[in-house]
Amino acid sequence: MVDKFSKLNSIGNNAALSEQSESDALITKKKLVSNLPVKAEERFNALKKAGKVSGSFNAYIVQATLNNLDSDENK
Amino acid sequence: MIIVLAHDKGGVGKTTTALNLAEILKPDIIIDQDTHNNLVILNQLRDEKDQLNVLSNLNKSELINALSKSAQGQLILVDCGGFDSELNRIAIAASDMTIVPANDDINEVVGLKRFNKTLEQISNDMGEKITGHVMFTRVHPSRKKFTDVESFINNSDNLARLQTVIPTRKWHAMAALDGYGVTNHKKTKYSDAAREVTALATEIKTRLNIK
Ligand SMILES: Nc1ncnc2c1ncn2[C@@H]1O[C@H](COP(=O)(O)OP(=O)(O)OP(=O)(O)O)[C@@H](O)[C@H]1O
Ligand SMILES: [Mg+2]
Repeated sequence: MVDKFSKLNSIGNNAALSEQSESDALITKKKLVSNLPVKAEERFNALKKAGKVSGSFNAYIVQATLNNLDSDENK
Repeated sequence: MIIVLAHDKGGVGKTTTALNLAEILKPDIIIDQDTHNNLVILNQLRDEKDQLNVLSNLNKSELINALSKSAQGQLILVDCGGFDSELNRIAIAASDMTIVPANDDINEVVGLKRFNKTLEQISNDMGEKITGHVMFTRVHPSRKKFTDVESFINNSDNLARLQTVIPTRKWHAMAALDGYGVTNHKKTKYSDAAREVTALATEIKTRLNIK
């Protein structure tokens, strides 16, 4: 018999979801941003009022950082 | 032996059944695959002396490693999350028995149909037939016949039925409030629920030929 437990490695590729491994998961910490331009927050608030963005400014900053990291890593 | 509670539909009674079976089957390892760590939390409610060996947040290789301990004679009970995922499929593929808690409602057929398809894919991947043993639970206590859903099961290649039925009983939630299954809580151990769960464990032991 082929070892059942080594076979398990190839199971489940066609499942709807695949679990994130610990290292991929976002582990978070608090981070203060100094000298954030007031204008940036005002522009965010205006976008939010116009319904063009949703969520908090904090989440927006995090997303912007991740986007920037992705693009720099792909240079 | 590996016994897995699975259904990619949420809220059907997987965790309740896992906790109830754990009291009687006394598995060496319990694996909590639910993202909400239900069993981990229930275990925290239990007395020190009644602690269960619950593993959670396992990654793929840790899961396969834990499952492989069944080859050394350990009894492993897995509570899957109510979704279709890679790790849930791996546990099902490894199982000696997969139990699928389901209601007798005719709408249930939709969920079972999808799960039958999932089991079919796992069987193909594994190169051996995996059967989901449908267990009727949370049904009205007077309900004895399940003709509609049963005929669907009979026509599904990867589904079979367990004979024991676990009706809706208030005792399940009562015992779980303290982290116990119904057979191991002083307020519920002489209840109908305890009798029904004992019958379920007996049916499983008989089918798997374990003492
Ligand atoms: N036989 C029963 N009688 C009464 N209530 C029940 C019974 N079985 C389960 N329940 C209740 O139904 C609810 C869902 O059960 P449970 O958490 O076991 O489902 P689950 O399949 O594990 O859900 P999930 O997919 O979210 O993990 C719980 O509140 C539980 O107390
Ligand atoms: Mg659950």
